[in-house]
Amino acid sequence: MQTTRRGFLKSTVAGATATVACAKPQRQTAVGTHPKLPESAPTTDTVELNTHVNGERVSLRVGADHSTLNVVREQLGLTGSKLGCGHGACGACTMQLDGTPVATCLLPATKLEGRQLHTVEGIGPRSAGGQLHPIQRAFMAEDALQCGYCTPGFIVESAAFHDRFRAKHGAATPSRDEIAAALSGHLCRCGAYVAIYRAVAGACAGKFDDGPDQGPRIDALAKVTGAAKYSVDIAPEGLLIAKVLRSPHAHAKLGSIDWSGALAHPGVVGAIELTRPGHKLRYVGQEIVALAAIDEATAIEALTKVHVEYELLPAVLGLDAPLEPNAPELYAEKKARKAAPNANETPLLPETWRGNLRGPFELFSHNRGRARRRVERARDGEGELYSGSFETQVQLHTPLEPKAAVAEWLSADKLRVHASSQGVRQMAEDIATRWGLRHEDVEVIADYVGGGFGAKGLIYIEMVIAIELARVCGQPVKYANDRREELAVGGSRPGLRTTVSVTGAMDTLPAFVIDSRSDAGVAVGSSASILARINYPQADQHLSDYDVLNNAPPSSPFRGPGGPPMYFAIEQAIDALAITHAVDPIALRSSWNENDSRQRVYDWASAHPMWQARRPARSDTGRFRRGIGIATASWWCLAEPATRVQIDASRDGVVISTACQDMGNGSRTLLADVVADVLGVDPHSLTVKIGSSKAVHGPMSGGSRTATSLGPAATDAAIELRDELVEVARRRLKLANVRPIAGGVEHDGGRLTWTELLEVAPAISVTGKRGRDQGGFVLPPIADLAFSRYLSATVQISEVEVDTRLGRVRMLRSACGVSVGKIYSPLLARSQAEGGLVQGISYALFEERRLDPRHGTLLTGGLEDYRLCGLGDIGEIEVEFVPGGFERVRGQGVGIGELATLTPAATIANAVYDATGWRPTHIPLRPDRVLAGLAQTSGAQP
Amino acid sequence: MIVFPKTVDEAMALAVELGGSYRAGGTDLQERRQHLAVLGQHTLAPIVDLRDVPGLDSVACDDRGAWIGAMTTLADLAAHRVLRERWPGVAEACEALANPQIRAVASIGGNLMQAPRCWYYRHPDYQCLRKGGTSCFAREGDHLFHVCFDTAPCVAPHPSTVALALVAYEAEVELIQPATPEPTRAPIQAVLGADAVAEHAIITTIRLGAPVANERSAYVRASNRAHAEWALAEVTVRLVLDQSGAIVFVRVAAGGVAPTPLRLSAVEDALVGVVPEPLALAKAAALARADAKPLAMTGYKLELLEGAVLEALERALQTSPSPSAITTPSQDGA
Ligand SMILES: Cc1cc2nc3c(=O)[nH]c(=O)nc-3n(C[C@H](O)[C@H](O)[C@H](O)COP(=O)(O)OP(=O)(O)OC[C@H]3O[C@@H](n4cnc5c(N)ncnc54)[C@H](O)[C@@H]3O)c2cc1C
Ligand code: SF4
Ligand code: FES
Ligand code: FES
Repeated sequence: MQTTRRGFLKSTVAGATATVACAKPQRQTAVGTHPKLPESAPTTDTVELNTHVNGERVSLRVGADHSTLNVVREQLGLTGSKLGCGHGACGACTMQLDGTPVATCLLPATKLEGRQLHTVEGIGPRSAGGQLHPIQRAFMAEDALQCGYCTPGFIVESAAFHDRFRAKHGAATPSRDEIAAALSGHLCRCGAYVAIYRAVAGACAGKFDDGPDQGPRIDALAKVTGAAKYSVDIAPEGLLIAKVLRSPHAHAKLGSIDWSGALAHPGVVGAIELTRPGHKLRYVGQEIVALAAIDEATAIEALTKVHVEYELLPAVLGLDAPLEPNAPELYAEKKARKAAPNANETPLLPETWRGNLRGPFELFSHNRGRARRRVERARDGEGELYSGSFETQVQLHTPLEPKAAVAEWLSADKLRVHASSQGVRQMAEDIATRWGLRHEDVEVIADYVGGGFGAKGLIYIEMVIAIELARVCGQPVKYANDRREELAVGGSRPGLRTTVSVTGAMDTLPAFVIDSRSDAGVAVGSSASILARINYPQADQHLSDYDVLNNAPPSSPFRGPGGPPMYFAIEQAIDALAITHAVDPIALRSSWNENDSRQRVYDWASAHPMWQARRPARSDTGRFRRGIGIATASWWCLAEPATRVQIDASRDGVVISTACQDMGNGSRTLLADVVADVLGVDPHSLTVKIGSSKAVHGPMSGGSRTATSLGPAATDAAIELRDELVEVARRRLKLANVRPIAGGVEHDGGRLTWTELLEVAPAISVTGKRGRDQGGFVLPPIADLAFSRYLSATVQISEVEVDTRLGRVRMLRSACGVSVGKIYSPLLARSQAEGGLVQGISYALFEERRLDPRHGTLLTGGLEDYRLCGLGDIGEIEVEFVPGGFERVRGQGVGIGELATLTPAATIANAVYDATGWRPTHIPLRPDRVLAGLAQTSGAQP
Repeated sequence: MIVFPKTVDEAMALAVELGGSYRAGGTDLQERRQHLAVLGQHTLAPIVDLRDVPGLDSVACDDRGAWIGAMTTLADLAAHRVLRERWPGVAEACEALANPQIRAVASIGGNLMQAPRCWYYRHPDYQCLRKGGTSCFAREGDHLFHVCFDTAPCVAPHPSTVALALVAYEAEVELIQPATPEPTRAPIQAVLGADAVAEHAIITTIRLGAPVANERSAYVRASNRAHAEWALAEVTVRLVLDQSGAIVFVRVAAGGVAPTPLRLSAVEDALVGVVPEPLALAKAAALARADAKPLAMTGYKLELLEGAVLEALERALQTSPSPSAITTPSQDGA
């Protein structure tokens, strides 16, 4: 590969992380000798322009390459519009130019001369009309947003569509296709599409011309108006911008680093080493040096002056090359093996290594000898056997807000970090330990988080970069991955190759032999086959998981780790078994089942009209073939028993706080809803303060633990508050027969509201606790995390249409039954489940990380090539929470976030089989695969 | 550095003098400049912004043809009433590509002159043939989305959807080139290949011939997602039926499959004079594979191409014909 970064040859010295700070920051003055030019056209590096932004005249001086987005965010400080991809594919940066939505990440600011620009801030309350736009009300009312990072772009585009549509059609309802086409330039990684359809259609139909300026999600107003501040929007005085030099090689030994040229570059303030000379670089994109400068362009320019020498080593990629006899070993020494990153959520157990193969991990096998014998006998003809091999691709988290941090040292030993985070408390603790600070001197803040999906749970290197550079430079520093970096190293779900053999019949428990090979790059920790154990616990099973080490970036926990890949294999295997036995696949699973929550969703699915009305397999024979498939999944119920929720109540109001965060999952709303429910008040009358590590112990947003941890703690706190206020009425006001009612208390002489009571009460502070489930947990909590005795369960039914000519699999409908017990915030819970489904569909049909097969360089480095599903791709989605169960769980409700994303790939594959007789063994279902598959079964037609 | 010339001639003089790049909407150029910035400011050529050059963003049409200014946006073309009626395939292509936020600013000139969408080309770490290097990394590496007509050293398909429609309309392009003072006219295909036009040549106008009466057209895009995805293969078909229902005029052009859009003359030849029965259409569509030379990973594109041709023929037959106009079509070119 010809890389563009030069390398010098020098001997290498491994040493402590060297850090250098250079001279005071200076404003860079751009100079250059310009060639002679015609006089009429003076050349410049910057351009003066006059334009209107949100109705106000502004004069700007902009650079030739400055994008409109950059100017609006950095110069005008309007941070509502977001940088998602930077290349026109996601829509997060959309603004209206003379009323027409445009992608401003690519729109040169010079084009603004004499035009009218409207950002999200200019639509709604701060606009000329001063009112919310119907689209904003609709997005709030229908909960058409989760993390909210894509929302400003959607609002700006939908508002224009709404205005156009109504001018033409009056109050008609646009079709799904019209909406999908109009919003086709917008991507929502959280998958809020189902509600977005509802919101846009409803607003056009005139349903939201007036109504409340708030919605069920209590922070929705901030999100639809662009007021919500994410970590990337934080810009303290004196902020420096950091950029990172990354390895262009998949495997190399780092030689010398010469950064003197970079440090001498005007505007550069400091630099740090992230890999020491002499150490190994194991993947393309691995961090080598970071530097901070007065602005991004300067930092980028300065990086070209860092000279690094590499000693190249042979690299291996994929699942096969690393196991070949002479393959280079990724981790040759024990010490290095121990330091390999963990792609899983649970702590690593020691494992055997043979070269690049780690494993097998077989701990969760059950009657393993018998499982093998039964499968062998079936292979010899005694009983039905299904054997197959399935492969799933590496999926990238790519939340629309990348990993980002702004670090400020308030003094030599006091630190504040704004970070896009799923775990502010945990991160603050880790930072305190790492930098040797007192816990109370570290604050991690994440007011708004633009999605996480598992990659932002623990302190990440992007934070380390900001913190360390801020320390070295003595100034606040911001670091955020650009989209290519986020896609390269921001986190991924491992690819998985699973071989599964299963035998069994109606009323005869199955026996599984499963071998899985995980491609987590340089990371380890796969235990995916355990999911066969939790979904079919009574079965005989021999389960073996291996990690195959290779020179790709490390994977990390991703929503339902191991789930979609493993269920893709086992749920197809069971489907195939049911077909061989000519039995209903739900009935077959039912006949093996002893678990209540699973039974509830099995029964729900059996009775569902989609399932009841299904046609015989392969009913269609023409070009378009429809089919229906089902798949089931179970998931753990995790909780963080140490969770606390504090409520401070006084005449100034009621403030709920805990050290958790809301990455779109709805924690903020859940807290308000739960407390409001106990007190019988409007949730919007309460203040929720989360997103700071300084509050009482809050849960990490991961492992679907949030609702089940926060819910009971908030209830506990609210009850305590209520009881204290009742006491105030009794003792202080000496009222008789005081009993709590909705909104206050009733007594013999009448009623008092909580507000009236708070007027006379002293300030009250109460703390609620999550505590243990009845009967305790499966294991005592490890790293704050406890496994409950229950499992959540889901069944998904999907109908697809296969275009046998152009190889497309189109989602028509899916219905998803979910058993998670009590639902805390119904509309938000639905959004979570829908989002999980959408991500699962996206994974099954489109998403795929591709690396150059020789260099390991990321090819799908943008959102055009790394394809996320859009509005037009999801079909109709129905989610039903099947009530009941979980009686002994504190609060009777468990998490949803991961469960809903487990089944789509498996269901879609089963539906494709039902439609065509071709069983997909690889995802994503790209047209080339579909056509090749159909050709095998002679199902393709021109 | 940036300059804002006021005339086309001035633009070219500046571009030549400075070694500058023209900027129309910037939707392609700016994305590429972001990559170049990673390599250092010295790699960024001065910008010759066409913002203040008047007269390039309008469409004129009459019965002799249409004159489309190179700076006209794709959204304006897609919405242009007369274009939609008389040259429907062009309007349809403009409406089908990218997404609304891009079409609102992207110009037709920029669309034709956009750089390859190859993932190696767009990666700052790779200096491939088209960026002055010595090898094609896609050919040797991952070329899942590349050509299936391997006829040039660079295996990136031409990215322009509009080009495909213009090929189907046998459009001409007017350009001004540094070496020749007078504007020149060239058939669309002549300006599309790698290095087809002289450096700093500037496209001023796209010329469409006289509209064809009773024309039916269709544009079909084979892709995975429903919207806003680059085509794996794309096809524009135009045809005219006579009184008896036989095809008297047909143009078939394909994109996404070759270094420049292909006119599928084997398919056309098989259709002229034919009454479009399903079997005849299928047989003709199969000829789309004629002379194909797929790469190791792109064999599937042939199947998609054949399917897309068939689909486009079927769809075109279902559309209602354009209004009768002045000219009578003939297969030897309008
Ligand atoms: C998400 C996304 C999806 C897309 N999908 C498609 C698609 O499906 N099909 C498709 O065809 N395109 C697609 N595009 C590309 C898009 O259509 C082009 O970027 C756009 O048309 C370029 O026009 P522009 O005016 O912005 O050009 P610019 O970016 O300004 O210029 C592009 C190039 O052309 C040169 N140039 C511009 N005008 C002239 C002129 N008059 N004479 C000579 N040279 C000139 C410039 O110097 C530059 O090299 C997509 C783009 C994005 C971002
Ligand atoms: S296909 Fe063309 S653009 Fe892509 S790597 Fe090869 S030469 Fe470069
Ligand atoms: S940030 Fe502009 S489209 Fe993605
Ligand atoms: S809500 Fe759309 S990206 Fe998170």
